[in-house]
Amino acid sequence: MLRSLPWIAGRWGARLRAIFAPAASPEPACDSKSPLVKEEIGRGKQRIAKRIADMQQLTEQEILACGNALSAIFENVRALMADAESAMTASIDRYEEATARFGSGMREDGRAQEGAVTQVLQLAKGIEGAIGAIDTLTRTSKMLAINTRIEAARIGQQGQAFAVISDRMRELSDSISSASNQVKCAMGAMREGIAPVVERAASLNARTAFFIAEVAAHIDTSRTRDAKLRGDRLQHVVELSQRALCHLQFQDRLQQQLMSINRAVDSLDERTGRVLDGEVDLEEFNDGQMPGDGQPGSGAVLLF
Amino acid sequence: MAKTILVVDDSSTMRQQVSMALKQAGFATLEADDGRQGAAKIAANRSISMVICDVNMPHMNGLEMVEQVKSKPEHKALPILMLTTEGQATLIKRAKQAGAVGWIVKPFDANQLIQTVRHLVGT
Repeated sequence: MLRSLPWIAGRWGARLRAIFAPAASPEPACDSKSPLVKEEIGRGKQRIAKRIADMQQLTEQEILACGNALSAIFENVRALMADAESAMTASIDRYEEATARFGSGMREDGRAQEGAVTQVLQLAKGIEGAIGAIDTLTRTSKMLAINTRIEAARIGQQGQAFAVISDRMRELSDSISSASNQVKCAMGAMREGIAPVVERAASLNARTAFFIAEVAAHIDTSRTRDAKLRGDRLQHVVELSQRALCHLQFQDRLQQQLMSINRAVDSLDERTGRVLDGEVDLEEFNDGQMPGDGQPGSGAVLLF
Repeated sequence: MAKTILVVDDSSTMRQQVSMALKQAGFATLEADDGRQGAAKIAANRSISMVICDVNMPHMNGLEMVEQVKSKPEHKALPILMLTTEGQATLIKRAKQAGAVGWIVKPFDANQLIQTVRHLVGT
């Protein structure tokens, strides 16, 4: 039965087998050696207790160091995220400001262009009005030239000079009429030329407005998407950190195992003493662990 | 403003781990390493919104601490959650009778702990 004890191994196993082997005999053997064996076991117990205490201390130090490192990693990640968010926000703000400035400039240019076109059209209207007046004058002077010519013909020889004047007046009227027609043609061409410019300006304004709206929408999307992305990443880091925390919680279980070793060593001491004192039938070894039937398991949450 | 949770445990590693999980979830924490110190901190600090308490501790154990704290009318509404390796029905019953709001068996799941704390402090 004792041979089956899990902790009987190595040096102790060999020694204890040597101790227990003669125990089958009804008489206690090695009486003279019993105190030495008990003494040796006592020293062994002390060494084990010291190792257990060292192990507990070392484990606690290492767990605390891991915890501190984990905490520092988390805080750094959080700070990094915050820095990235602030840099991104500043960059987006600058982007937004530049776009707004560009939009405002474009709108101002559009308005100036529209003003210039209106002014040109008003000038053209004025010129066309003046041409109308010139046409009226030309018609009047032509009529005057004809009347002069009629009067010159009626007077006869003495009206020859008036006939010359009439001819000159007609020639002048024709010249003015021709010049007026040229100006009219030029004005018509100018109006035709201005129409596509006005159309282009309207199209450019519409495209600028569309571009600015698109940029604004893109900025909004980026802001929302980046915020979500950062939130998701941080949440992932929290989850990883929580998982690491679960793994770090082994000290209680380790403590239980170490206490179990302590109990086993105490039992070994006590049982060895009994064997050395001649007791043969030992009850089965119990390491003192309580059965967990019906009890809530690890991680169970009970709310009252 | 972050709500303050008092963590009472004689194990420094457990205090660190519970505090870390709570801080990552946005809570502020205070720590005490036994029931006596825990009761003193509760009495001295009105900003504590909740207590997470171990059972087996030196000087004053967690159940004694709950009984002492809950005997005072001003702390009747303070939620105290037990966090322990123990799972014996008699201990759980005693904690419930003393006024604890719940019992979690170690090792705990950090996410579950945070959800429970949020539920109990109403955030």
